[in-house]
Amino acid sequence: MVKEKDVLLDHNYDGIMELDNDMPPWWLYLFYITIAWAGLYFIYFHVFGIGDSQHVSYMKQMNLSYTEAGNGPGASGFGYQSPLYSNDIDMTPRLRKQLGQFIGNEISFSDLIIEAKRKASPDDLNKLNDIFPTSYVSASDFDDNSQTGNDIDWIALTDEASLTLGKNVWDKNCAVCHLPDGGGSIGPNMTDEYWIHGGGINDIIKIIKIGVPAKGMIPWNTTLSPDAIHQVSSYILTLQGTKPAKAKDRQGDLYQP
Amino acid sequence: MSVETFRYDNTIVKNFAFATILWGVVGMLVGLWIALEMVFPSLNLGLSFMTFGRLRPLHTNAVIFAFVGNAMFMGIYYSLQRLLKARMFSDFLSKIHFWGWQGIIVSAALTLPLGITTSKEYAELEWPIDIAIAVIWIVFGINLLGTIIRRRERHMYVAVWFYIATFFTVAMLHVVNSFELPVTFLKSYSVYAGVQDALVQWWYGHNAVAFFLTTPYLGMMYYFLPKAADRPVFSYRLSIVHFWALIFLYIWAGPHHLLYSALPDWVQSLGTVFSIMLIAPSWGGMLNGLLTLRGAWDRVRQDPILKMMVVAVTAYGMSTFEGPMMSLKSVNAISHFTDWTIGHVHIGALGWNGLLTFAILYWLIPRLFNTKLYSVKLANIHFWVSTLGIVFYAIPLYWAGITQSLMWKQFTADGFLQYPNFLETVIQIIPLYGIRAIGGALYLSGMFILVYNLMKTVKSGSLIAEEEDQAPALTTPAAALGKNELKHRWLERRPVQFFVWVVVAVAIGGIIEIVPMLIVKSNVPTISSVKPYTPLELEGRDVYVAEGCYTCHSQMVRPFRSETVRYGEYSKSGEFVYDHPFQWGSKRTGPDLHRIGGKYPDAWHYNHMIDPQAISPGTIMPSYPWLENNYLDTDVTAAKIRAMQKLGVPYEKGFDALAYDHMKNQGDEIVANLKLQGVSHAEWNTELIAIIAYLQRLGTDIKAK
Repeated sequence: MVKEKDVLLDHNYDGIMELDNDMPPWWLYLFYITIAWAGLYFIYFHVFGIGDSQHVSYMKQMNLSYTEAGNGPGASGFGYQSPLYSNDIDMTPRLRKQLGQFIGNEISFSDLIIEAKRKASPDDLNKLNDIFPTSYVSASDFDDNSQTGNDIDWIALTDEASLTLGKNVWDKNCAVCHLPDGGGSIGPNMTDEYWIHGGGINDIIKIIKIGVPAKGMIPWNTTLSPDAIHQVSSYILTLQGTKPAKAKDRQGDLYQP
Repeated sequence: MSVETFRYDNTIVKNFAFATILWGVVGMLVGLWIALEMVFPSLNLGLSFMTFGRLRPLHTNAVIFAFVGNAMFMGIYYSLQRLLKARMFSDFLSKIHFWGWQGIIVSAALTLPLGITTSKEYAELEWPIDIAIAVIWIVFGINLLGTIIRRRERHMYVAVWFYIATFFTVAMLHVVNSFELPVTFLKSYSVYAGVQDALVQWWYGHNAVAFFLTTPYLGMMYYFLPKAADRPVFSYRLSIVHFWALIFLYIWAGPHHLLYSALPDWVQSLGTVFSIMLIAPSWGGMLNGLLTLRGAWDRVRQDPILKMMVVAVTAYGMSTFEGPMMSLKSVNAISHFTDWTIGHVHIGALGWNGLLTFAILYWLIPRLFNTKLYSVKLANIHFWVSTLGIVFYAIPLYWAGITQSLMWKQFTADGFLQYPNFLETVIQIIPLYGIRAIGGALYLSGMFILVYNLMKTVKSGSLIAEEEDQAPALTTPAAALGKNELKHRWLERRPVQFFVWVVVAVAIGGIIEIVPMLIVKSNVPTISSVKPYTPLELEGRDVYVAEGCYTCHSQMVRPFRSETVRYGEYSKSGEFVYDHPFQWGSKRTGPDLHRIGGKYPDAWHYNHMIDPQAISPGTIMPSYPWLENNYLDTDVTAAKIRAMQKLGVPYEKGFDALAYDHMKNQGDEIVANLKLQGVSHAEWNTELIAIIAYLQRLGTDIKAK
């Protein structure tokens, strides 16, 4: 144990003295270890590139068998190719809207491009061909891997338990735009016999899954499980003919099963 | 050797002390109010200038620059004169410094609630005030360095080293981060865009913590703690090593605010590793403080001043360990955007800055007024109330942050988000917000105890405006290094050389991180489909900035499955190249908005802005009915376009002249669309239409397959 008077320096600042104690060894070791760790960390990720980049670790979350590939068309750097979005087709909602002005918005992607190309001047056509060289996935092609449910012929559920679950889904997710009683506000009325995209259980399930993004109905297939969509669709059918007080005017066509 | 007699200026110290107390009360009061608004959103009383988005910057600015700022100047002006045995360089500069600083605070308190803001966190003040800050800071610097030059003490004590580092680094940070292009008297755009703006901002933001909240306070600790404890400083060597390590390493750590963002990986990693290396240098300060108390612990039990200092230094040690832990990417994946961060910063703010300030006030005021503290008992009560307040403040927020983060990330066995509705995760933690507000109220009540106690103290004494002291003049030039002296001793005798080394130490990190981001193109890969905002969207963006939407909403989808499933594709740096300033945000009280474009119909946004509760029952987002009645100032739109062109945004030449027509067309389109969706009374040139245009554009420049 050192005596304080042995390590007292001759420093005096307004009466404040300083001791010449050694730095605590454990503190010094801590400092050395963090410096070594910092060096190794940087080497691991950025010199030898052993550690996954942020993008690669994301891809591995999305796809367990993912391996790092080279730069494909439309990659935005670091070998990037998103599973959800694709840059090779530079079609943005904004651009789509601008194109849509020519021919109306109620049209599939591929038809839209074909129509736009048909009506464009030769100059514009070249530009369009540059931007949209590939063929498009049409709305009916969207049916792959049972995304729309058209591969199954659904039957509406009628048991109380399923309908209660369906109502829960409705209250949490749908009531905001269609109102709790289904009378419609931002979204259409669900209680009358008029439907924009058809009023059968299969039609309803399909629209819930893929949405109508142009009109603000979002696709729910990433948020709601197939069971939940089945349940809420069945619940929607039970709203038929309930005649809420403030129902929205009818939209679409009379649906006859 | 002739002994000179001189006098210390205590009036300036008293002025800064009183300002500290006044702004402390104001800053904490605003903090408590917005904490309550998070439980009862209607507490803004329907007034635009009382909303969370506008008051939160006022709270942070008031606490950092008004409360801590004045306390820093109080501590520096008192200790510097005594450590150097010299009066302040110029009484005139002292006065300009004091009144200039108060003027800046008042202008902040007036502009921020009016929505006049640059939206860069802790640097929200608009360009004329930025210039004023730079001028007043230089005044402070001249006063500080002038006093050092005219000192009667040969060596500069460690406290003075920290003051020098504070002065230079804050000046550098403020000037570089505040480069902005004025559009009107109170509106400017940051010259940096997107990812570059984010990097510069958090280089600044993190080092505001380092060099405004930490280094001056370490300097004050090195003066007031040994004074109050009447003990020698534990280790001179430790002071040297931890000082230089701290100021050199701190400046690199800013990117840890941007982990898992669109910032390039290599910059993120620098943020992580330098944060980890900061643990020991930070703890060096804590150790030198706590070990100085060896032999005085019996008095710590009795003396509220020492108690406050011990808790302050311990809080410093805790938050400087927690900070590096949060800079590990795996921890940050959980903690970022949640209340964990808010809890973390308040350990530092309430514990370290708050309690050390209180301790110094209790020590200093009786000495300035030549009297005794009115009530030691009340100071003891203050100590316990504020310590309890910190506990009640921080624990609920840690709890809330982790709870909400886990809810955001939870998937069901079927692979769907367990809580797809963001609101569910908010409602879960509102009770914890309530407990946090109680903690804040406790802490504020402690502040009132301090006000009462010190008022009584001041009344019982009289100010010693001019305090006499004696010291021999410095006549001989600085000596060469003595045989048994550490090399550093040489530097302590030479303020100019010392200053130069500080400049070198704090400049390196910023240069290595920021310059490549500005000039090397591959750091921000461009995306051809990303286009500049339309004039209406640009106006809407300015509304978004003015309302402080970024205080609750991020615009940065992180590369996690739980985020891309919830929000959409993760954010790319190339998407932000026209964002002057960036709007990534730092906290998600509401959901991320980067992919909000096209997700909901215009009418949804319209109704939601006017009455969020009607659309999302239980939400704590306040209503924004005034957006419907506020008209855009369309006269300046063209000037805004021209400003953007100057900043490199590729609008076609002459587009500014077409901006009005373009804006009207887009506005009319939205109004027509709203009519179809049942909203019949919208007007195209209102702020509400502009912000809808902006929101519908967000994140839509890269597209869904």
